[in-house]
Amino acid sequence: MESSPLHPDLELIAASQDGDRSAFGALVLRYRRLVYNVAYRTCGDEGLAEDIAQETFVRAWERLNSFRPEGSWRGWICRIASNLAIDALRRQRPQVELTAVPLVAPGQGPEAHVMRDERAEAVRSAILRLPMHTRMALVLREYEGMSYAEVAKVLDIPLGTVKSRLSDARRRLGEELAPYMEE
Amino acid sequence: MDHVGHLLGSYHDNELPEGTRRLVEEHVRTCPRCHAELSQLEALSRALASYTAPDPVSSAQQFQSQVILRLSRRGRAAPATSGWLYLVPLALSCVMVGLLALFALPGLLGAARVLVEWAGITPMSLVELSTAIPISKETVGTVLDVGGLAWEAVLYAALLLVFASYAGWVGVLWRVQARSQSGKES
Repeated sequence: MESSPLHPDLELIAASQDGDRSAFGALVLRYRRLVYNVAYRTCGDEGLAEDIAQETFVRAWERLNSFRPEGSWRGWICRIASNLAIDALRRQRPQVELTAVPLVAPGQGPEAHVMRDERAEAVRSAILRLPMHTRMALVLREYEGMSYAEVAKVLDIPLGTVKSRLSDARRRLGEELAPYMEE
Repeated sequence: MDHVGHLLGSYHDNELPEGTRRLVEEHVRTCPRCHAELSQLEALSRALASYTAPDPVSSAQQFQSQVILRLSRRGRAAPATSGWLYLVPLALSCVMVGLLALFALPGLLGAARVLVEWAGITPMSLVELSTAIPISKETVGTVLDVGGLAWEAVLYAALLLVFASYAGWVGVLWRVQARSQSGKES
């Protein structure tokens, strides 16, 4: 099958479920960035995010038959990525204590672009300091633009828990990033 | 209206029903405290947006190739329709056991009756069962609505059908697995 962007996801998924690797390859290209972004924002490490992204697609291939066409492929693939990212972080916890991630002090760079970098680094550090499940909810909502219902499905939690985790994440980030929010 | 702090997150995320959304909107316009809280949420979103993920380490093509290579090592997706195929032998086995039981039951009951009589025991239940349900070729023939020995032919035909179905199932499964093995490397 050609990996043309004109092929709708469902067509590629059906072909992949039938064993067509080139169709699956097209899905890999189409969702690579999404999966990588979710992994990166969750773990904050490029190499680890790349590994998680690859493993996500391998797992997806192995479990393709459990995907139902009436479901959301985006949500399904994000769910695999999220679970793998959480597993990876659990394994890494003894080596990388997230509270040890430095929070860059504001106002250290005179140039505007340096300030922008500082702010981005501060955001990154603050996100990595969030509790793992709170962080996942924030990443999916704030960066991937998922609805509360989608986040609930991806993380397999009730809608109320999504709201409380987002509220908690924003409260914590609001406190930590206050110096960067006035620009 | 009371403060709507608990609704501001959902309002900011556009997750409120229309009626509630309008109420919150009107309230925020006149309430400095809730207005400030909403502004904080918006400022936080802007700050979060400044954090963009870097490009992945490998190019899109490299990434795709690496994933496909790993698929070869880790196995392939089984075809979506193969799940029910594994129930076929179970169903066929049940049919075969049923048919064999139909063959064997009269003989077994007879043998059991001879045995208990030989042993001098007369368990009432067995005696009652064998007299109350006198299973015999004639009985089975009546049930199947065929006369004389024709029931045997029916049973043999049924067994043949079961074996033919089993062979057919094995053929289908073999084809499905062969198709999966080929991997459709188009």
